[in-house]
Amino acid sequence: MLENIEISASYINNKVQQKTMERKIDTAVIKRLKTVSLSQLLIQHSPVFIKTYGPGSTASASFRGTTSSHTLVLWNGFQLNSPTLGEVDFSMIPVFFTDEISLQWGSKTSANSGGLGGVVNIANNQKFNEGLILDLRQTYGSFNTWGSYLTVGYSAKNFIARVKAYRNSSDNDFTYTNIATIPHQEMKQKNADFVDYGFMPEVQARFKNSLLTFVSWNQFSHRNYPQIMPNVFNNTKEYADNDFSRNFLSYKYYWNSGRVEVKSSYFHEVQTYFLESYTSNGNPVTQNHSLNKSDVFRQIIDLQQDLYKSWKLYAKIQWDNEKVTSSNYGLTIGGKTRNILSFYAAVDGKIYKDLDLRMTLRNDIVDDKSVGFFPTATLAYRMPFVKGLSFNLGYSHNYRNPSLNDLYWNPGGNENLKGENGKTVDFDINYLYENLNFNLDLRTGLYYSKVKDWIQWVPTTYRYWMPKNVSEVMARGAEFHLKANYRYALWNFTLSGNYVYSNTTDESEYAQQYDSDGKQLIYIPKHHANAFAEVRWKTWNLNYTFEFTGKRTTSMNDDDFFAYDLPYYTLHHLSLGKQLKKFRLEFRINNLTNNDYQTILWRAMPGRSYEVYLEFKL
Amino acid sequence: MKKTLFNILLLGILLAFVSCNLDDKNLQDKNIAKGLFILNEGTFTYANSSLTFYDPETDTVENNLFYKVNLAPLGDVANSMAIDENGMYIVVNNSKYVYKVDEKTLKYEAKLDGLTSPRHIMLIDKNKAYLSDQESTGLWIFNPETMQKTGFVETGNTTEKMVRVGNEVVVTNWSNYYQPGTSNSTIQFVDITTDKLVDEMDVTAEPHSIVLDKNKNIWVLCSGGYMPPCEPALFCINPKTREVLKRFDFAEGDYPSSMAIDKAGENLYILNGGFGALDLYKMSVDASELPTVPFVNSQQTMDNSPKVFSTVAVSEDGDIYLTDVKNYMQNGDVLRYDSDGNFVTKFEAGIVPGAIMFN
Repeated sequence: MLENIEISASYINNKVQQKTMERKIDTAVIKRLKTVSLSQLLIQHSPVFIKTYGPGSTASASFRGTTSSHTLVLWNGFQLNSPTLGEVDFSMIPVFFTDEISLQWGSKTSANSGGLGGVVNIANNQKFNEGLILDLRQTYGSFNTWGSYLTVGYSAKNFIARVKAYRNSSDNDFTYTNIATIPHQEMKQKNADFVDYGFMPEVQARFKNSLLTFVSWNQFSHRNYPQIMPNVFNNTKEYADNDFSRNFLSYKYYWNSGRVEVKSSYFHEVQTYFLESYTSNGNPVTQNHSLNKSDVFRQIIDLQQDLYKSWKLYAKIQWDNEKVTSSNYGLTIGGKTRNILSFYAAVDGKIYKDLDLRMTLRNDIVDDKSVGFFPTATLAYRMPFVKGLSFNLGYSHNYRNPSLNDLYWNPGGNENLKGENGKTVDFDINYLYENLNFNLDLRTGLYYSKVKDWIQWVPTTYRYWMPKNVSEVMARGAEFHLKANYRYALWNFTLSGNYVYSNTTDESEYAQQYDSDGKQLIYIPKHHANAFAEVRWKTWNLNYTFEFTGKRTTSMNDDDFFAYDLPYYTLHHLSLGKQLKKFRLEFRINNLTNNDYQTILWRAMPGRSYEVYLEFKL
Repeated sequence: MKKTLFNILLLGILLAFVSCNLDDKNLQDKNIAKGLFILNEGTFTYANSSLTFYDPETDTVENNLFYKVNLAPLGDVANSMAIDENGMYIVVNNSKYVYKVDEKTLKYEAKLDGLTSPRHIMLIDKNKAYLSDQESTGLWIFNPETMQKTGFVETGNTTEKMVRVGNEVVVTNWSNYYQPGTSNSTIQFVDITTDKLVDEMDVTAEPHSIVLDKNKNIWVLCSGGYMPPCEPALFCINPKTREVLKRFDFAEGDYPSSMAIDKAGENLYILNGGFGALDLYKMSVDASELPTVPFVNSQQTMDNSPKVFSTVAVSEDGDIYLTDVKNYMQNGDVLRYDSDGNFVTKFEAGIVPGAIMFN
């Protein structure tokens, strides 16, 4: 009986609506990119734009023209966005620790607050009955970059125990042309080395009608931060340490027409940031030594029940308790706590032959105060005459809580901040074609969203900045996705790509006051694209990856002075691999054409680099 | 759909061989006339500081001068300028260097680095200058001709703005943020012949600006600090006797933060106000109380849009220049008024226009 039920740790899966406002990242892509960070996977294989400070530095996401704090990241349903910053550093998520990655947008984000741009879901999902698990991957590349990834475990009929462990380090001392010095000069990147390591034990047990899961994600990192190009001669020390332990326990109980899941998580995270300079007599001056500790408990009960005919009910109650101790919150050493209670219900089913309707409603109570009711509605229509063609139309209303830094930062934190309030309309057209040796997946998405009370840190005359609900941001755009696969004899060809147009502007009175209304928000490219092509023949494979990032503004100025606008850039990556029984060997070239580029103003990026990848899998 | 992707791929292949080369722009030759330089701080860590020149005769302005001439950014958070017959010096605070450029062509000549948090320059003679620092406790001594450090005057406090009175330099101690336990509410006297600290006097917190009047008295404007208790005040001090001649206390909640004096040393121009808005006030050095009516009201300017004033400067002919930093994320404006407070003109400078220097 149980074998017939898809057992997935990703609770969010809802069979009826699996394909609306949602896209799974290809398992083949995840498998191939196990040794990179999620930031690299997303920039190369998804419509999500990633803004990175360079290898081994912070990488944040922009989903559908919004900013990093509007991209919600869920790990097996638990929010990863830091309570202090409200955002996620995607460079801190090794693809290695994930089994499934999917993207959701519009009305599909309604089960949680915060994902005004969209949700990136990552989940652990193991298969039973696979026997001994042993998997070792080793990489070595330019700039003394090493990566070791080990998975060991056993998958029995009703029990799985698996441990993953990794270590990734790099001197990251690539050569680049410093165009901010006089004269411009070839230089080696300094003080950019990093080391990350972690382990993740997972246990899963299957009983007659239920499933018990425990996962513990433990990770540690030390990263030195390089200076911006004009400041490379500064005698400065800057680094960040990031350590965390994220744990969850889940119990799922199934019956014929539904299931219930009860789960709890506890995340303990410690972040240290350090910046030091040196005085006339060589004594260090600590400019910044901040310590943030957070302890977050989340409890979720969710239920799925078949109702009448195709109709299903889905309900969730979640209670979050976020506690932060931060040296940035001034005199309140005791820390800050926030409690969020959330009630969510959804129904979906057929309202007419090929027309599905999904409606959801959520009410959140933040520190005993209701922040309102948030409804969504989605229509999904499958064209009856054209097989594989479908349309989705969605309306959603959601909000995002201010981060604890917004509320309590000293000086400037503003306890009177309201949550951001977003309304979105989405329209998707999907076309899926499959036959014996050819698959085609085409998707187009249009979106229009308006976020009121968008929080922006604005200057005050007191020499510090203060967050205020001043902006009213409109994000509109379009996404195109293609994936095609063709098999012929021993050949296999894959082509996939994404193109995203996003126009994001602030239309508030505050922006109008400074004539910056209608101007693209900084660091959000109007155009970005990626493409991937693969040819496989017998045990050989050749891959080509392409990234295009359009011009980005870094200020609200109109002129195209280099320090105000970053020019577009393209990147090309190539890899060649061969399977040798249980071994797999791959040779990779990143930034093949050795292009000079900046993702963030005056942050040096590496030119061409090489990597060797070796895998052994039992 | 397929075509879109094909186009993208084609574009990619074409672009692959075009790297973003910035050197294709030509160096520009400049010959700076009489006028004023405006130094734009830019955004912290964005290194988008820039240099603007304005010619009041012809009412013409040119932005991004340093970049145009040298094809490199000025750096991160440019703070102040100085000029002498040797050249022009630009202090770039968060890049921790001082650039020396030719005062006519603005061509880069040399760099002074190895500093902690450089702020302002006081040129003593052609071979000696002081440089204040917000994190080191004292003044750097350097040779402006060779741009080499020659010493350090240890004063025990971090240093900010300076005036010269005879053989002494009076320096304000504005910040103790990075040097807890030191003073941010004093002014200090340094002997320029011995390079030694000779005296110090108490004022109130954050002595921001310091100027010399017609009577050879110094005026010190204290912002009062941003943490209560705040004591915003203006002091008139006899630098010879070290005596406070007058003290004016601003209202609670005021944050006076820029002061200039006219060439005759007769009138002070002070930016002051409460939360969110600083207005310009004019005050005679002979006045016995603080002015109550703004000379230029930031909320009611020529175009009736509110301004965010950050710096005031007065030219030799008495014209008053005010920088408007707007929202700190785009080019600001400089507003020009005559000595009677009549609006003359305004022009666009760079991001966060700050220091103004007359050539």
